[in-house]
Order: sequence, then C-alpha cells, then structure tokens
Amino acid sequence: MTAPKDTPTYAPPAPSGSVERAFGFKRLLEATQIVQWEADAQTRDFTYVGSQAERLLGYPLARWLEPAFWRTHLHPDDLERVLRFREEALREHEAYEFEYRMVAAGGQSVWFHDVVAVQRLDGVAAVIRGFLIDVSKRKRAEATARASEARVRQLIEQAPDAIIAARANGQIAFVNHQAEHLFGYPSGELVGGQIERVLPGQLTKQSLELPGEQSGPVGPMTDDSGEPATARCADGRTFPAAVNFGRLETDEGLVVVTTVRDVSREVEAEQALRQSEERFRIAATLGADIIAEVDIPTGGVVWFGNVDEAMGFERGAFPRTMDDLREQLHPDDRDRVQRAIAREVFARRQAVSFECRMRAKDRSYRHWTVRAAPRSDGDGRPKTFVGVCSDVTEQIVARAEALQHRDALAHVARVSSLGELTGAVAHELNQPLAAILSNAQAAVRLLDRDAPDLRQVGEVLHDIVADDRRASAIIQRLREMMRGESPSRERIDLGTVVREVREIMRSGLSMRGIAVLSEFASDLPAVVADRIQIQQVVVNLVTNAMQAMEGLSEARLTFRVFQRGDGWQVVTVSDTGPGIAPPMLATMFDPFNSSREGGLGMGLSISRSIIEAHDGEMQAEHLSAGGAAVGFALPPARDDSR
Amino acid sequence: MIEEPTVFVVDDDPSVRRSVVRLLESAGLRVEGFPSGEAFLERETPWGPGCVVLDVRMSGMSGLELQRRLHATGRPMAIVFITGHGDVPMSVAAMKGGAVDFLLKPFDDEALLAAIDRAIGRDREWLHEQHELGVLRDRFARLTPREQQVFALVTTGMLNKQVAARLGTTEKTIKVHRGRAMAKMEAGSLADLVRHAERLQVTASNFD
Repeated sequence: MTAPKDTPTYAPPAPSGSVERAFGFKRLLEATQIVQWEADAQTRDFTYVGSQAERLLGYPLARWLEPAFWRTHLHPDDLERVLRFREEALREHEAYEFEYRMVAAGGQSVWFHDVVAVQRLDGVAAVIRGFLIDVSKRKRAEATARASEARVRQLIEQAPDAIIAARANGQIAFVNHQAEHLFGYPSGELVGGQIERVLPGQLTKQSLELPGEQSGPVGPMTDDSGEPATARCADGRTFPAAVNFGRLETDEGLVVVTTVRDVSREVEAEQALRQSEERFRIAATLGADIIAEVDIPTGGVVWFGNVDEAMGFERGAFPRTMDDLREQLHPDDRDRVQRAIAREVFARRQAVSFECRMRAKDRSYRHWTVRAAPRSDGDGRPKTFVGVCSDVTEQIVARAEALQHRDALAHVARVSSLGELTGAVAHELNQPLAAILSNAQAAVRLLDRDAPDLRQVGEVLHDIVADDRRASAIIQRLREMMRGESPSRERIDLGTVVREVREIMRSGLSMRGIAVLSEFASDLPAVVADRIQIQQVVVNLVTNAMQAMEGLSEARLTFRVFQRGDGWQVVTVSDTGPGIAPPMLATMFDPFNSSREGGLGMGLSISRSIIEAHDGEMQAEHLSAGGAAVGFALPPARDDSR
Repeated sequence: MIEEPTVFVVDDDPSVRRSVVRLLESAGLRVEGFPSGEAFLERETPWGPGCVVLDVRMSGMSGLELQRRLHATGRPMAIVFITGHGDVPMSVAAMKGGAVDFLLKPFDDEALLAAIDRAIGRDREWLHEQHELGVLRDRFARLTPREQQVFALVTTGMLNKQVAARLGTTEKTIKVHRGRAMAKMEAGSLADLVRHAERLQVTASNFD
C-alpha cells in the first residue's frame, strides 16, 4: 500500500545558505550515494554534478554536463509524466521531489529519487539545485511486493468465498468481488465501512479478542446455539452464512480476514430434512404407522416411530438392517416380499404394497401392510426407499375370525341344508319304499299259506305299483324344485361382480401367499343374471383354485373377464395347481365328485346348476403351462329382456 | 291265562300303515291301525298284552310325544319306532323313553317281527308285574290299620319289643298283629314279608 510517488509532497526546506557553505558538505556527500547537482531551471542542463554520478549511470561527468543530458536520458515511459510534473512544480512550488527512471550507459534503468529546490529571479525559476538518490533497490523491492500483492489479490478474487479484511477497529480495508456481489454492494463501497454492516454481532470482536497466536486462522465462528451466523445484504435482506476468521499481523496493525459463504441452501435442505423427519415422527407417533427408511447400498434401516416397543424389543434391538429384517419375516413371506421389493422398487422404481408377517420378540407374528416407495434423487438408481408399515394384526385377526365365523356358518348352513335336503328326500322316498317292501313281504307270507287269498295278494300288488309310482313322482317333484327356483334377474357387470369377489377373498388369498392377477376387458355390456348366485359361483371357483394350490410355493391366481367372439361373456379363474386330469374333465361338474378328501363334491355341481339356470355353460381347461382354468360363459343380454 | 296280543300301528302315511298292518296280519298277529297319535289315545286303554309300532315323524303329534303321553297314562306300552329318516339324537331320545327298537324304513319284515316279539314279551312282563302288585295291594288293603302299622315297622327290622314300645302296647299284642299280617299277606317268612313291603313301597314313615 504504497502511496503513488507522482503526487507532489513537500520536502523539508532545502539547505539554505551560500554555495560555499553547501560546498562544505561536498566531501561528505561524495562519500554517499547521494548526488548533488545544480542545473538551469528551464532546461535542466546540469551546471554541476557530484562526482558519484559517474557510478550511477556509467557516464563520465563531462557527459552529464552536456546540454539536454538529463532530458535525453530519462526513461521513455517516464518522460512525459516527469516533464509535465516538473513544469507544474517549477511554477508553483519552491521545492519538490519526485521519482523517475533514467537509462544508464549499459541500457538498464535506474530509479532516482530527485529532491529539487527552486531559486527564482524576479519570480521566474532560474536555478534549481538538488540531490539524486539511487532508489533502484527500493523500487525493485516495491515492484516485487506489488507483484506478490497482485498475485495475492488475484488469489483472493478467485477464491469462491467472499473475503473481507477488516482492521482491529472493524473498518473494512479490503473486499473481493465475491464479497461485493454476495452482499450486493457496488464496487468499492464496502471498503472503509464497518464490518458490522454485513456481519452484525460480536463476531469480529470475538475473533480479535481471542487469546493466543497473533496471526493465523481462527476457524469458523458460530453463535452459542451452533446456528450459522446471519449476514446482511445492502438491501437489508439477511442470509445464513458460514463465517471463518483469520488474523494477520501487518504494518497497519492486526487485520482480520473474514471469509463468508452463503449456506441458505444447506440450511434449507437441513430444515427440510428435519421437517420431513419431524413429519415422519409425528405421523409415527400419532398413528400406528411405523416408517422405515432403507439405505439401498448398505441395507441399513432407520426407523421412525417406536418399532422396538411395538414389537416388544429392547430399545434399538429390533433389526436395523435388511438382512436381519428378512430373518424377522415369516419364512413363507420372505421370498415373496424380497421379490416384490426387488421387482417394483429396485427395478421398476415404483411403489409397491404388500402384506407380510413380522415376528415380534415373543415369537408371535404381527401382520403388517407395507407400502414401499423408492426415494428418487435425480435420474440415477434410487439410493433409499421408504416403507410405511401399518400393524393390521387386530384387523386381520378380526377379519379372519369373521371369515372363519362366516365360513363356519356357511358350512353349517350348507351341511344342514344338505342334511335337510337329504333328510327330506330320504323321508319322502323311504315312505313308499317301506310300503313296497312291507307289502311285498306280506304278499310272500300270504302266498306261503296253504290256501293263499289271491284277491288279497292282488290288492297288495296294486299297492306296490301305486307306491312305486309315488316314489318316482317324489323324485320328479324334487327335480322340479331344484330347477324351478326363480332367481332374481338384474343387469350386472361381470367385471364388477368378479372384483367384489376378489375383494372378499383378497385377505384369504394373501394369507396363503397366493399372488392375484386380474385381466378385465373394459367396456363390456351388462349381462342379465342373479348377482348373488354369480358371486357364489365365482367364490366356488376361487375356493377350488385355492385348494388346488394348497402348499405350493409359486401360487398364482388369475381372474379373467372377457367377451367371446360370439358375444358371450366369459369369467375364468385360473390357478397354477396340478391341473385337471383328462378323465376328470368329463365328470368334474357332477355332484359328489370331489378330488379332495372330505370334499362334498357339491361346489362345481351347484355352480353348474346356477350357470345352467342362467342359460350359460361351465367350462374347464387344463393349462399346458400347468394349472387349470375353470369358469363359465353367459349369453349376452337380449334387448327385449325386462 | 295267555291273552292274544295286539299290535297297534300308528303312522300318518296311509300306504305305509296299510302295508305294515297287512304284513303283521299275514304273520298272524292281531293288528289295529291308527292314522295319528291322537286317534290312538282316543281308543280305550288296552290292558291286554301288546305293543305299538310308531312312526316318529308325523303331522300333528309326533311319535316321541305319543311315547311321553302313554307313560303318563299309566299304561306305558312297549314301542317299536319306525322312521324314514332317523338321526342320533332322535334315536337316543326314543330309546331313553323306553323304546324297544328303532327301525329305519324301509325295514325287513323279520326285523320288524323280531322287534314286535320282544316288545310284546316286555309288555307281558310288565303286565305280570302289575298283576302281582295288584294282588299284594289287595291283600294289604285287607289288613287292619294296626296290622298295617306293625307290618311297616317290623319290615324295617325292628324287634317286637321295640315295635311295642313305639306303639305303646305290649310285645305280646305285637306278636298277634304280626302273625295276622303275615297270614293275610300270604308271607311264609319275615323275608317274604319284607319283599312284599318293598314292592308295595310301604315304609314306617307312612305311619308316623
């Protein structure tokens, strides 16, 4: 920070007195590097030059005294400046000093500090006298310093952060462009002001008052709460800032070098994260939901919500890795869950829902429904996914109990109605059968007598014929009763009916680990049918499919609703079970034909009765890929139907 | 005195009823048919040996209900149930009610006749017992009140002396009453007398 040298300054009063007195110093001066000289004020042609001058530029003294020597040996770059300055100085000052370069005999430049005293005659400068001092060494040092200062300045300007250098009293001595840009000040406006303008608070003072080393970095400064410092812009806007201080001991005293970085984004991100964590926690606390955040590369799991307590574990003891978590799953659920996550979340990068059983500390299983979704940050593969887990054990148990209850009721109802049916049939039929048998046996006895009463035997035979007719009439009536039931008829959408059944059966299918697929043709016209009866048929189909896949690891059930070429609508339920052996295909819809032990063999038979009552037809197919597709087809609704 | 037994067939199904009646008649039995339990109860109580062939399921009074009613009349006839459709609870109830057999329609004639045979046998036994009891009752009725008192107390195992003290009389008097009671009851020994007392359900408390 050297002041420019071409600014006129006032030299101390020139040595006053006569030339003689001045000459008295001659020997002394000649012993130094200072060259005394005398020249014409207007031309500056030297009239006297100290003998040391020969050493300064390498010219003999005689050359110095030649006309225009000074002017012609000025450095070309300094010429104009020097001459203009001299002209002004001669006019206005009694003494002046300035610095310039002269070109030496060897061609090199030599810096001189020239001190000039002006003697006037009648107000006009006549003679000038002065000293030339070789200041080349100092100038080189200054140049070096300037160069290094420029380099430092360049560094500072290139630094990504805003840099402010302030003196101990808080006055800003220097800022870089970034600082001006960051705080929104026009160039140069910050310098000279107080650092408090941009960094309110005690930060600078703190850094100055720190004990210890006089210079060197102080490190980041934060307030007591650990929050970032607040910085203030020219327009009054504030932003969170990361601030670092360094202390530098300089000629001008202690300087605090402050770097300031805007951390609003980091703070916002952190706040957002904290808020979302908070949201998770609140959600987890309020509801029964537990949220898992899984780091995919490491498999680490962070739980929100008290999963440990929910599962009966000591704090922090419930698995915190995917591998351990897998072990906690019900063995039957492990592969299915892993496949679902791998396929949907990892590969397709979409959300997936599933039910699974998770083992609690007491080794009981809790039923969880989990909705897992990848958290996408950018285009790359997801690095984390979030699973929202709801413990639905109570609902599942309640639902299972309700289902069991309903199943039991349905079973009882079916058995007792079957029992009643067979009872009624048996009673009805056994009456004539008993009469026939008793009559026949009576006839045998009558004929065994010595004198059989043939007229009586004839009566008996007549009764037997009547009872036989009666028996076949009973059977006929039963048949009509079965067929003649008039079910309700309404326009129904088969897709809706099948969806309803799928919902009813969903948990049962899920509990058996059966994957459910659906292929519903859209925009199918309505069919005219008894909704309840058709649902009964679909339930039967699903029940059969489930039983066919009992114990299979790869169990899949597919609902299909579509329209055949002839306009009939078809519902099929296909499974991945053992399929249907060809001999069974012919008889499987007959009553009392069950492939299952303990099965009544009535399901498909009743289904056929229902479908045939709707003028439809049952169909069954053995799938070449394995499994069976069983279903029915219903004719299209006639427009003239009621 | 061997009286001809009668089989009462109660079934609301006319053709079954007629065929069973005809079958039993062809086997040489005396048979009466009734279309309902109510119709059978209207008949004069049969005191001769016999049994009832009874359909369980009838419109109106059921077979089991008729069984209960017959017990209540004091003439609990032996019953052979016949039914078109029987279940376990029904047959258990029938057997507890004293049914001889429970036959499912259609039944074989031999099975029915065997069951009827057993039923009639049991009815005869019952009638015989009722007869013996009637005779004893008649004899007991001929005892004087004092003799009945002595009869009751003696058959509880009391000595003459104790009975005399209880009735406030002498041992000698008790001996006389006791001798007459035994003669009137046709008891050869004290043991016979005790057996009669048991069947007649005579106890000392009756006379306190």
